[in-house]
Amino acid sequence: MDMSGGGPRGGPVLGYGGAASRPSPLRWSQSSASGIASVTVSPERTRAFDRYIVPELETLYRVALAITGDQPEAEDLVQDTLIRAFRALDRFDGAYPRAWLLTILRNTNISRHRRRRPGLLADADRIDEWAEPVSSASNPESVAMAAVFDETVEAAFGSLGADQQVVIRLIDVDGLSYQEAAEVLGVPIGTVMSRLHRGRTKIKRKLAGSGRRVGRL
Amino acid sequence: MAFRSRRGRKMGCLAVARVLQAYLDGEIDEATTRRVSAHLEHCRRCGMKAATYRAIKTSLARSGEGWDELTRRRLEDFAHRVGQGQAGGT
Repeated sequence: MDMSGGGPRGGPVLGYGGAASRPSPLRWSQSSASGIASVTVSPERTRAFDRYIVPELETLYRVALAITGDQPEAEDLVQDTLIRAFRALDRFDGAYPRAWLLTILRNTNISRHRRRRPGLLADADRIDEWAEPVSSASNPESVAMAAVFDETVEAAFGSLGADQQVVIRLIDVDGLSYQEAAEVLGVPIGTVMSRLHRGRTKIKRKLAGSGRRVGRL
Repeated sequence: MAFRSRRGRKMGCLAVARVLQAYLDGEIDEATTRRVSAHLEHCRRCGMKAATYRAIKTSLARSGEGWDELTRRRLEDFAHRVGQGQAGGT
């Protein structure tokens, strides 16, 4: 599986140009008026895009939000990722689309950071922007108890270092596997596990310190 | 990643502690999962610890429920245009 995920943003044809002997399902032309590339896309490519990429849109956004900590930045990152993924579709073998996309997202993020300073999720105040406490508890008392617990967990999460926050968020909030999180962050799986363990342990200690207990809030 | 423990042996608290996070995340093999579950049912201390970690995990998952409608629409619209070869830069 090719994980390169295409070239720089706004560049010429990626993924097809090298295979001169192979008919390309994507033909590119340059608009003289706008300077923006326009393309003629094969139905197969559109179908592949809809089949492999579109279903992962929410995951891409959540992961982008986790690693950027900023909503507009996350949207931009997803958009760049979509463009790169679209260009790289001919090199995708159809296996593990999420892993393939997350690698593209990671590479895209690295490219973007080369142009700008990185901004990891480091500000505890940011949590308020993405946290949407929703409880499935059915009675008011349970809702209140869950809310208090959630607030404490949220505060504890906010006190963690950025590295631990990102890992916990990717796994607990976004539902990534250890391997997927390691791929997105570009670190060994053991690093993901140790950060996860340390982060959760800290949250648990904070809960204990605040007197919160599961079932007895 | 699948973690395995020695077959046919009961797991002690220390062994369970080593794989507890992976157990909660569904990252261990079935046999080990069964053995960890069996230990947690009979060991109050480890059972409480697991319950706390599970509650933390659930709370964090709750915090991320749903992505806002506008963001979803914007990205779906953008994805549609990319898929049709119409988005700027494609």
